[in-house]
Amino acid sequence: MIKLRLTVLIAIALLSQLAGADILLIVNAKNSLNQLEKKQVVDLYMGRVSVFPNQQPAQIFDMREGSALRENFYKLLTGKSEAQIDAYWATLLFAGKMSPPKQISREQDVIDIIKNNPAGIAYVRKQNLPPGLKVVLEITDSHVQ
Amino acid sequence: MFKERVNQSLKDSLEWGFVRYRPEDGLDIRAGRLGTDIFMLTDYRQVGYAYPWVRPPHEYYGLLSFYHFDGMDLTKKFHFESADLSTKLFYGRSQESYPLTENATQSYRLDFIGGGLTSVLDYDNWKFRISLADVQLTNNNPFALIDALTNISPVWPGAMAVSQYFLTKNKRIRFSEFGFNYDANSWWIQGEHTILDIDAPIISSSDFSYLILGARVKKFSVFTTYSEVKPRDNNIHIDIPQGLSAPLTSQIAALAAASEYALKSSRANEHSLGVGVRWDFKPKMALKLQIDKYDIQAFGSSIWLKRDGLRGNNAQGSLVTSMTWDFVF
Repeated sequence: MIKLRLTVLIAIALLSQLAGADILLIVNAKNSLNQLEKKQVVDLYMGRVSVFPNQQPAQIFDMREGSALRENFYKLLTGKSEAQIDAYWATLLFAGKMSPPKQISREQDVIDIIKNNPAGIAYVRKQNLPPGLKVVLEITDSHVQ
Repeated sequence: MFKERVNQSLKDSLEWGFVRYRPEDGLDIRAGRLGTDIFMLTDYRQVGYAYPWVRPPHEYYGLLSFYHFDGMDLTKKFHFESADLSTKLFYGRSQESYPLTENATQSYRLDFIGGGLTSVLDYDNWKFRISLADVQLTNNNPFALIDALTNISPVWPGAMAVSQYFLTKNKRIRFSEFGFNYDANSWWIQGEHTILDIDAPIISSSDFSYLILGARVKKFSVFTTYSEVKPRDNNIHIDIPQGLSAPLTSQIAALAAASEYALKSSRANEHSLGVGVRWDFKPKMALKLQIDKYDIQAFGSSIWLKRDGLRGNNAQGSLVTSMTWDFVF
């Protein structure tokens, strides 16, 4: 019986991993922000602004190119493919207008960075988060226009 | 950032190099060597990965050079509920040499000083931009015709007026540009139009435009482009004085014809149609294939380097197939 329950739990856990299209935008718990609108996240990740809506400087973190999470994040947020996003940054980068968000390879590293960086913002798959972090926006498939 | 130029000195090859000061979010002040922001592709016309084509539309970006200037600009961004507006003021001076022959043994130099204003509005899937600039040219280029016309002016007073057609110093250029882009991700359209209005006939006042329509399917995007350049003014006709001796008249007639010919062949009058495909096969890497069909009117080939002398002024066509591999790192 216990064994069966465990199997069911593992199955549910796996399913939620697979269906993990939902993405959380996280900031440090010390950040005075409680919520961001989708447009505000787009502005931050597309380099249109470099501060949070409360005018505090923002340090934006991205996942390494080629990762499924990154592709999914930009698709849900902007409707654009990773290639479109990289081409977009190429239009800004060489003019020295803005620098693209810093890329991090592992999701766990991103969580650790935001835990220790009051100015940081990043995205992770929907999951139970350790203390010290705050969710400011949840992006789900229903956000797709 | 550097690029191969007619003169390979650091002064000419340095594309951009500037310092930026951001006193507050949304306000940028830059000084140094800056890209001339009078076209949509100003900031990335050298960065193949950033645009869909193998090269930006030839009729539009081929002649409208003005890559950079030395000066400063000020950009202010305004954020609205669903739109973003960015306005830039710029002022500076520039010296740029254009090759006239294939191996760049001869070049044409344009120095100018001036400024302008650019506004870009991002709204939903739309981008609109408008740009106005007014510059004054500060140099002349030597022309054998100018000397010949000056020498003959005692017997043909009208020659002095004709020689003025070849002078550029203190002449003004006014640019007016309008551009738009609509990007629904699965398909997109983009166009630009520029009116170049200049007081010096040796650089013909012209209309430049292009339109590109594209579609994206997974890692591929396909597109088709139309682009054209047309002179705004009619060819200049030079009247020959009457009543002079026959040898003098024939000499003046030859000089007038040569002047008309030189002015006529400085014009750009052509259009092209292109189709292409871009494959984003890996992150930050793209392969592109493009086929362009150019139709050049007689005396309209001034944006091409001519190898065959006068025959280069015949109406002609050209089919260009290009393939590139672009990447950023």
